[in-house]
Amino acid sequence: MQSTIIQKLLGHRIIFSILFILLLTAPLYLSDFRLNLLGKFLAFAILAIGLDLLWGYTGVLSLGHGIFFGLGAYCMAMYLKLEANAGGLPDFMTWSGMSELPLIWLPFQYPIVAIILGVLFPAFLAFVLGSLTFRNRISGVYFTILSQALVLVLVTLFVGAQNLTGGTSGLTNFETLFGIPMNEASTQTMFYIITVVVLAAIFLGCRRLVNGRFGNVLIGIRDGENRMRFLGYNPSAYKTFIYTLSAAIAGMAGMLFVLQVGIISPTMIGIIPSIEMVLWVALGGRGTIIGPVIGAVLVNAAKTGFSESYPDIWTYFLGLLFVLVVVFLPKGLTGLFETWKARRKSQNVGKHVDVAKSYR
Amino acid sequence: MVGSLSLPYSRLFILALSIVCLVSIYYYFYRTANGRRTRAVMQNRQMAECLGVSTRKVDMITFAIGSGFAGVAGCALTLLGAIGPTIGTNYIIDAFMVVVVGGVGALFGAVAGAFGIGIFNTVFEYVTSASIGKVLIFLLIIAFLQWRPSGLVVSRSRSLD
Amino acid sequence: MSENMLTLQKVTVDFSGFKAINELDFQVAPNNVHFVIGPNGAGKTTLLDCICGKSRATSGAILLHGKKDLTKRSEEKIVHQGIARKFQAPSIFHKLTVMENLEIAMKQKKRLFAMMKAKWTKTEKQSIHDMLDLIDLIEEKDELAGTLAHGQKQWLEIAMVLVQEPDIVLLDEPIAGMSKKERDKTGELITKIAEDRAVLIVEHDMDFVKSYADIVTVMHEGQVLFEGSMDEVQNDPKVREVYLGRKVEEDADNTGA
Repeated sequence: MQSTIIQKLLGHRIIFSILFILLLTAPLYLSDFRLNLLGKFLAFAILAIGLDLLWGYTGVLSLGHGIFFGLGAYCMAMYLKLEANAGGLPDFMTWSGMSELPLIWLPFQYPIVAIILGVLFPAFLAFVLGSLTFRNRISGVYFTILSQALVLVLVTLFVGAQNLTGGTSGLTNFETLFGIPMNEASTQTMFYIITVVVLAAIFLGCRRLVNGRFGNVLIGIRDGENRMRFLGYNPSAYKTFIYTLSAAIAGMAGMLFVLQVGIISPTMIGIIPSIEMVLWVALGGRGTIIGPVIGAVLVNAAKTGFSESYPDIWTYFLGLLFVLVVVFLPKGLTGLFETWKARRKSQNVGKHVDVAKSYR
Repeated sequence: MVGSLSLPYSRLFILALSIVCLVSIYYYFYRTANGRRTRAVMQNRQMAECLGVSTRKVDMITFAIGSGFAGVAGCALTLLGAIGPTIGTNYIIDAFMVVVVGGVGALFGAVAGAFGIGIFNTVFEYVTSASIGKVLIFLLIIAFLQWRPSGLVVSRSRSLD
Repeated sequence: MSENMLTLQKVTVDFSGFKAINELDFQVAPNNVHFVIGPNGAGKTTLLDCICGKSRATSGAILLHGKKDLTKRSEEKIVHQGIARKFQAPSIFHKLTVMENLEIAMKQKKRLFAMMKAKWTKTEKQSIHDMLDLIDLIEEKDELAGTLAHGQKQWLEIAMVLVQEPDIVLLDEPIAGMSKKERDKTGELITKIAEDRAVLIVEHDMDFVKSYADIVTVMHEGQVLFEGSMDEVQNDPKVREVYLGRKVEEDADNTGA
């Protein structure tokens, strides 16, 4: 019995290591265009892990992660925009008749500050909304609706404040990062590598977090929040923390996204993208850490694939894919794997009992 | 007042339409056997199932009715302004917020919530701008929920979760 | 008997006009198995609810060891004061294993950051193991709790209450739905846990109350009607009139009167 456990652990570790190396060496066998796409998908995967921490483990469904993603992306983009204009005003500001850099833009002259704010700002917003709602035991569908309303409100604000945010067209035309030209293949490869490393770090960190006792507490909160109170826990604090953490992760994903895609606009962070993010998690399988990664990459790959091959009708394919998965795989792709494992286990049940007895 | 009084007939029609919808949905939920079953499923799904209520059927009917009413609301909207394929997304959040403020599963709450949000929205947008108005209404709702976390109309229950 | 562990002073719980508990005075003494009985709607469960913080007392005070007032504290703070509660329906975590259920229940620092760093210690492992032994779930320790039989679930929940090492244990109908054998075992368990703490139990089954009660409180319409040993309760004319009297006509055999 012990040896099988070790085998299992080794098996997991080996699979993950191989995957990691495959991803790291992707620049060697993928074209620049494909690599850039994969990097974008992996940025989405980072966000999906954070979202799953919140939804799959803690049972809090947020339909508003687009905005945290967006805040991170905008923070990065503001810095890039300023650097592209070499200290001058961004083009859209001059168009709207401004002569001086507005106050909120000032900190974004410094890359380090921009990166830190890209994580802290979404985290702070999530912390405020989270503590105001969870403290009052607003949960379930109520919270979900509020999280979605947050997106609507902020996106409207972004669009409305044209002179500060670039309005509907967003921020684009970036040139350099730390003085290095961004559009060169070598820089993009570097961004890709950074994305892979961040993804791996977040993946391992979150796995550690949920595999221990802490993860069991989260599952307890998901399945019986009030019961947890009577075991001496304060679920509001836990939920606020996880919401904040997942917002911070989403902010990171947003920053990596903007570096590789080179544009961020309100349509990329609005309600529809926010819902799509939840679909990645649902498709991959919630309540596992690998599931959302698979989901994010597969859905986005499918999206790209369909739109390349069938530019007119690709959205139908995507819709069909969602319907099929929901109808036939309610637990997502990892659910399929679990079922297969359970079936194998039940075939071996006789053996298992014997082993268990001899172990005692 | 100078001249003849002109009434916005299309708006009056919408008013009448909503009253008809409200009355019929009230009648359905509280005066018919199907409505009773729906409420039973809402309050205790398992128990309702044990008593022979087909929850699947109730789910389907309720979803159908809900979608139907959304359609009616859509028809009414065409009388008020321009429409397009994305018109739904503009209204869905407001509709959700109405439910949050009113309390889930409460007809009276929904009506009160709709009036509250509608009036405040109009006032805020008039006083400030459309986008700031949205922010204010959101903050107002969050503040309201600090005072009444489960909306205007609360249903009590003894169960733990 | 020394001082009371828990004292309720003129506690009222008002559910928008309906007083589930009305100016109740009530004490719980240490090392006792204390049963609360009474007809439906007498306020028994509400009594447990307002001690553990699920329902809030509209007025009155609940004093722990004669000083700390519990009525304004949050549920988890009350737990930290050493009061643990088992609910009527088994409310264990079905998606966690038996072991994991006990792991999150046991006495430890339950704040966010302490929990992140938490690791198994030797004493923790030993005490969980002893508890599994006591409730006879050693073999099932790695099974999902959802797969347990009903009686095992009840025990698991009692065990989850005990590993919190509380001073006061509140049990709401612990033997509901148990077979005769399981009841006897639960009774033994209760006697054992009362050795060094107070146990307060709401129960309908009079045979069970008779076998294990040190002291019985009869509640009626939100107040204490009578308090004493089971024999005294059975012979009290007031109780017979209000409670047993009414019960006798309906289902004489259940009451054991």
